[in-house]
Amino acid sequence: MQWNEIKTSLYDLDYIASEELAMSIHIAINLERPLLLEGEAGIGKTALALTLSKLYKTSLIRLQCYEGLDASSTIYEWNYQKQLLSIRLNENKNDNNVKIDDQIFSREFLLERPLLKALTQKKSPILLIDEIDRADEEFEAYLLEILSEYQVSIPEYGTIKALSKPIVIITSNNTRDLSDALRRRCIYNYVYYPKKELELEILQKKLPNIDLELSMQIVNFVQNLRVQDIEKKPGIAETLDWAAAISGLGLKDLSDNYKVLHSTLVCLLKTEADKAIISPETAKKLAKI
Amino acid sequence: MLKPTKFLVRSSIKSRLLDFTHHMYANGFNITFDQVFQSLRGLKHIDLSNINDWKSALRSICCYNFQTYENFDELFDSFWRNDGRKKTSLERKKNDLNKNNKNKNTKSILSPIEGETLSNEASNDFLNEDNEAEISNETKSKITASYIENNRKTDLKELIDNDLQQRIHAAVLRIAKSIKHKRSRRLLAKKKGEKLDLRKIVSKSLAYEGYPLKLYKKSKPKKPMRIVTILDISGSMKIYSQIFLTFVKGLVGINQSTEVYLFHTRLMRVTDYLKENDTLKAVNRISMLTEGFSGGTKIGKSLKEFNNVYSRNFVNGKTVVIIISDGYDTGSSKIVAEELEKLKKRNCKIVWLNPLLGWENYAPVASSMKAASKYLDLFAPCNTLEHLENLEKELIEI
Repeated sequence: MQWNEIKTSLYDLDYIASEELAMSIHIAINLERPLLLEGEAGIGKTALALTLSKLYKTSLIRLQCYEGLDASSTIYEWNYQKQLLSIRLNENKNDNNVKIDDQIFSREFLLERPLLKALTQKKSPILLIDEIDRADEEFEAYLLEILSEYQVSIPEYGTIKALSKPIVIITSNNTRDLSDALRRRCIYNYVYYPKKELELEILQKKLPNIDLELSMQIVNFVQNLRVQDIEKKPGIAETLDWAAAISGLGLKDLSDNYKVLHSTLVCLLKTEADKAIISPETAKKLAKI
Repeated sequence: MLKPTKFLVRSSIKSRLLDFTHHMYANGFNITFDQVFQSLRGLKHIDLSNINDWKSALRSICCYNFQTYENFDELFDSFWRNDGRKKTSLERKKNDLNKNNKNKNTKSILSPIEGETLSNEASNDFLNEDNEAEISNETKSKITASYIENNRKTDLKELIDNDLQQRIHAAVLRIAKSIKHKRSRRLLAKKKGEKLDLRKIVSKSLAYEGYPLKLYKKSKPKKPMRIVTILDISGSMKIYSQIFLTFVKGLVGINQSTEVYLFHTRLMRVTDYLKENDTLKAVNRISMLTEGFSGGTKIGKSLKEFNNVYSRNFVNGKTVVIIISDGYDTGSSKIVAEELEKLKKRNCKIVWLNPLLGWENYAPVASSMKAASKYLDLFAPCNTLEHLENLEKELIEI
């Protein structure tokens, strides 16, 4: 599949990717490298993984990162309870032929966590490692072996190699600098806020029942809002919410009712300070530009 | 940016690609062998005849952070597109220039205002004698400027001698140690903790029929703190700035996650420059970088820039922001307070070191300083080395 085919097939699945992004996906899949997506929150990094799993008709394995995430909750863990039970049961049998060690450290007693699960699928799954910047730096080190060799080494059991190489998507909101070692193993793409045309296309595709004139006004307003001096700039997700709210309230034109317009801005502005900056007058001005 | 080497002989695409990676390397991209290898592999999967495909593929492979991603365009154009010249734009510029020439025959083409609208590459092509004269003037002034800079460099060497450097380093070590960890009241499981974790002992003892065979322990966790330093290098701080740069450089050396920003009328991030091993070299490099700017101090504006661009990424509850400035501000003091409030909302500790505070009878009269003091966790003098050395105690308490 060439990159433009990826772009069009993603389009058919309601995901509108920029050319740069489509190319990055194309390269990442062909070179079997993880794709590292950075960018502001709410511009469709996670949604891309969901759509790719639909496109390749494969399962999506998601690992949401958080502080304190460790190997036992991401890669594997032994099922201690089951091991204990098994030892108890074998005590009564007095059967010395079976070595108990071999038995309790077998695959049966291994709990697969997302990363190991991604390696043991028959069909390459999409592995989404979401918001990796929230995890600790040590966690990145765990990832290195898995992402470069596609294998997991378990001391008691041996090395488990991937049955099929997963397509790995890593997202980061840039709340901390990722290590160079990880960055270099990845195909990199920085996802910007969409340009006017692209955002309009997305809006039309996702909410087709809003007419073109209103969509244009909505996109214009949001684009103008992003230029303003506000703390939390609205992403695409917010634009879509707001558009849905406006059409739900029956507005046909942004200039119809500025009172309603201002009250719907809760969908776009997410902090108290931002709400104070965008007063009804400012909102009116932004709608008119 | 360094100019790419021009090739007279047409070579294979592979060797050109290798040359390009060298070009990127020369321009500050840390390209690894693996990335070169992946680029070569990537060739198979794209349409080589389309330069845009070529560009976005190479960008995905060779870039590794936001900065490189942003700069890639320019680098690529300078190498593959003959110095960034595009045919259409060139034609247009030519026409524009001709028009201008007809209109203002007597004036030089590159009068200052129009010079700005023309891009560099065009100006190279359309030099006439007047412009050459203008440019030679420019280079002359550059030469004198660098001559002065050289002088300053030697001054600096005398300013920071080895003894002083070592004393600063010792002070830095102690300060860094005192804010290395965040204090926490919560207890977390730990192998060699100081308290017994009764809850865990009981629950785990179930496996041994209620006998607590294994003792589990817990203790207060050590959470590493990150230091962000914002250093004022405006005229009024000039006499101190070299010492503080050395101080800051020491902090970076001890804790690699330390972030450093300099400001006078605008803010710039210099963390990467300070990762140089040789202190003197690093300090020199930075003073060269910032020598060009002078004038007033805009604390508020710089803090705003910090809040908008960097604080979201680098400041959280586990951060100590150290601002080193004398508080004399040519901008509005209202902004300083606003921005400090915003910064404080990120739940960080703010420390303001003010060299003037060490002076006798000094009260923070500068309006910015007054506005700021409400949001500070520590406001301390730092005009002598002793002050820096004594900071340790106060920093432990915040």
